[in-house]
Amino acid sequence: MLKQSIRNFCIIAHIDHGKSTLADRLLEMTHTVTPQAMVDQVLDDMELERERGITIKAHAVTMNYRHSDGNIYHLNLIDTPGHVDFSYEVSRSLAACEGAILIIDAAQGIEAQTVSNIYLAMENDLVLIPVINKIDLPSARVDEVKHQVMEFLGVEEEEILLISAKEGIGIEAIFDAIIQRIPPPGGDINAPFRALIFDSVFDYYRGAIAYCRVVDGELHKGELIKFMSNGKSFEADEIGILRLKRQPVEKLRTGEVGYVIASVKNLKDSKVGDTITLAHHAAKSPLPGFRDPKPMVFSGMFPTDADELPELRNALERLQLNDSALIYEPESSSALGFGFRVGFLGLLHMEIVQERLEREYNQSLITTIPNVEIRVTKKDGSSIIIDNPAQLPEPMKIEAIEEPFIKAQIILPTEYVGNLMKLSQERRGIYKNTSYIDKNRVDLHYEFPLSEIIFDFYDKLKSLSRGYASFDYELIGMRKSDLVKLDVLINGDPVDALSMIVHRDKAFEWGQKLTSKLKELIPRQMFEVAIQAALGSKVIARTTVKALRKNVTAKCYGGDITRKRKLLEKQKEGKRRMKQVGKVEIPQDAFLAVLQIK
Amino acid sequence: MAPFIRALTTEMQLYADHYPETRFGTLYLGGGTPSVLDRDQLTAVLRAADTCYEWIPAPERSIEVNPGTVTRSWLETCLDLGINRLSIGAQSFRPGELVMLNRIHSAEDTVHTVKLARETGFRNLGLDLIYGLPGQVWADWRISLERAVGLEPEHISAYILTWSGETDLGKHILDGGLPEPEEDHTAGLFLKTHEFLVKAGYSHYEVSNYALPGRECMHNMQYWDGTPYLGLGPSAHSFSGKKRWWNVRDLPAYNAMLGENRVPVEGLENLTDEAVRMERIALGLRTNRGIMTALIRNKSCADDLIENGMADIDGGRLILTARGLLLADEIAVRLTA
Repeated sequence: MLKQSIRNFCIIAHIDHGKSTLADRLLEMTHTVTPQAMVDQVLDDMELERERGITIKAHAVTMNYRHSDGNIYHLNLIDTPGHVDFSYEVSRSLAACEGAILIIDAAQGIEAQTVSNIYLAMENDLVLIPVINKIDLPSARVDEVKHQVMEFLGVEEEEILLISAKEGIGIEAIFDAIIQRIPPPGGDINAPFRALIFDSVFDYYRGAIAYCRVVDGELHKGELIKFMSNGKSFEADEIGILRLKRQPVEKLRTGEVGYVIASVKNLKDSKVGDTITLAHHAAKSPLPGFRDPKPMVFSGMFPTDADELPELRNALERLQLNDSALIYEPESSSALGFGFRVGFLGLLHMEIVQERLEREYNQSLITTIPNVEIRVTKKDGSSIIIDNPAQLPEPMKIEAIEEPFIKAQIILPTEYVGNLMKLSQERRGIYKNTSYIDKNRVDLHYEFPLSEIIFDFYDKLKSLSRGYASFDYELIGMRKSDLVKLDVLINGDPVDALSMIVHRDKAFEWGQKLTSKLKELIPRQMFEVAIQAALGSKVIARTTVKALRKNVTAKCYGGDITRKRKLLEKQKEGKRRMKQVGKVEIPQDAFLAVLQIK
Repeated sequence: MAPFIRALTTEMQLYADHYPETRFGTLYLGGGTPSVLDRDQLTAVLRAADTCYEWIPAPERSIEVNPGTVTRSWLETCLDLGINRLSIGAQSFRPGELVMLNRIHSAEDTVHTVKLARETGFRNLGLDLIYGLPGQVWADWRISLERAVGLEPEHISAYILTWSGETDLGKHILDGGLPEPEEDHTAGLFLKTHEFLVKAGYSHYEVSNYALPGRECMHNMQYWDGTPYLGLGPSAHSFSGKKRWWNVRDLPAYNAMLGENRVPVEGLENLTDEAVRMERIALGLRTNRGIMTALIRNKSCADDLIENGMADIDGGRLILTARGLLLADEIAVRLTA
């Protein structure tokens, strides 16, 4: 491919603003895929993604387009994940492009996530093509949104394209804009080979597959490549470009987007953001911007049946092969026995891992209350980072505790600002500043402790703004907080897996809520179950699950026995999903009770 | 009715050669309303039973009857055929409750049927009662219990109402027309029933069954102690010790299959050793003979039960107390785990 004929771009959009639909149209019109063969969202190929409607793993596709100038252009669409948990992956995808189509919903206008991605795109010097989608909707406010975009991006009215991806209106103009406005890739074909990995997936037969953008030089099939972050070398068994399927080629050249398969057995050796170069003709320096994925949220994962620990370890090992952001280490709990402390990018990532373990690896799991990492400075001057409430030293040994804070950007209609202020106060938010996007919408900046936003902050925000607010955040560092450990006691015995670290001012409220939620979740048993919340030795909340009085079939004669036994077998299976703590059976979901607290 | 009687006797014949070594000890005519059979039909059924199988001397033979539906001559025929035990579906002695339960008989019908049975010569009578009805308090239930005991039956079955949305009563509860029986309250009635009937001289020998000494229903005891049994008729269940099987439910299908001399079996299951163990535990716990402690793997659970007054150990067997019986299903799950 000639560099001049290549355009590398991505699509930036808020969830539901029509990214996948537009991608479908582009694929159709370039005959990359036939309409019959088309599933609704071609770029999303994991079952879980489809159910959640979120692109978790980015992919790319090369489309050939014959322009009205008579030339054939190679358009590389690089897909980007659409959730705050995956913002680093988004930044690497953007870094692989020269331009971005910015989709804005004609009814919704600009949203926070879009704004933060626009900033990311600007940092990467991308040419932005603003597109207002869903202009066919009765609720479309085309003029209003157009002005918003003009004001926000500083663009002229005629630069904004009006389309309906669903109806196929205005799509031709997008191709024109891609070819005319987005520059062809730069880079030096004679320099040592360098390619940016913007995505990496694991295939059980082929090993890691690195999706990459060639920045300089060229790579031939069979050459020895080197990952610059770890210096490891592998032979490039297969290289190619991406259609809907992989299409092998003999060489990848400057400006192209493709994949490299090199029998890399562990995804950790082929990380997003890393630079691939040649082992024998290495580049002097890697491409900028690489960093290791950093888990933000931690929770314990334990097998419900202690005998299944090896299976869980095996499942985590296998899952990690294709999820390099996942980290884990052995953990032991006096209540739950042996398991693992697992780190996630965010709560969504945690839910995905949990579901994949259950669904794809058939694990029966207990996941404990998620928490963030905190830094504890001890009286003796030493300091430790802990990711598990059970590791918190005795209060008398603690000099200070710090917790991670984030910088949040929230965009919402002005009428909901009051609601937001109330919520942010509840969540220990620190107001920074406000700017107006247009006369109806404001862009507010806050700082929050990470622990206050990981649970249900986004849901709350959505409901207080009738769905209009949008939210984005980034980590800004550790700060001192007055934190304490809240323990839960069941029939007088502390259950370490239910402990959590909370702000002192909120301990009482959490204690109340947690004990009453546990009361709902723990079924009546043969004996009374006392549930207490305590700070140190001081009990601050208490509830009781009354003893079960009656559970017996009235009639059980010859014809009832088979049914009776089957019921018994089913109940026995149900008990298996309970964890016996002392004499009390606690259902799996009770360990995540905190997530259900409203 | 004639095709059914023909089918039933055919079914008996089909199994006749399968039990050459077996001497049957009990017979139970029930599940449905066997008292609708006329004397000739009843005679045909019993004659077939006598011809097809070997019997021990004076076997226990029971029949279920609804109050007020049987005559002296019908009862005499029963006695002639060796039926020596009546199970009378009294349900309640309170008119309002009988209406709630959709029964057409009255308390007086029950009294009359008991009197008639005694006069005819029955020495073994059982009364079936239901309690835990919507809105029913102990004082209400006690009236039925007192009247039942006053009739001096050898046996009393007292069932806690089991309701579902499929019955008229259940629908009434769901639509709010009747209060939903509250479990803790019903549990209280169960314990009071136990106390009342034990004081009246009855032994509480199974969750819902009480009898004067030596008058336990031998037939039903066999279901709970793992003795094999042969069930005949639509949707009847049978047990061989290793297998359980059951007949088609539908009467026309039942008649048709037997018309072709085919056993009307709908399903069959082979029991694994573990399944047998679970049944032994679940069924044994329901009775006053309990279960052999050797069956229990979860010893600490058993210890907890004893400590909390829900079970006792006697002669190497774990036997539930009245409070334990109320939780028999829950305990079975725990002990089988």
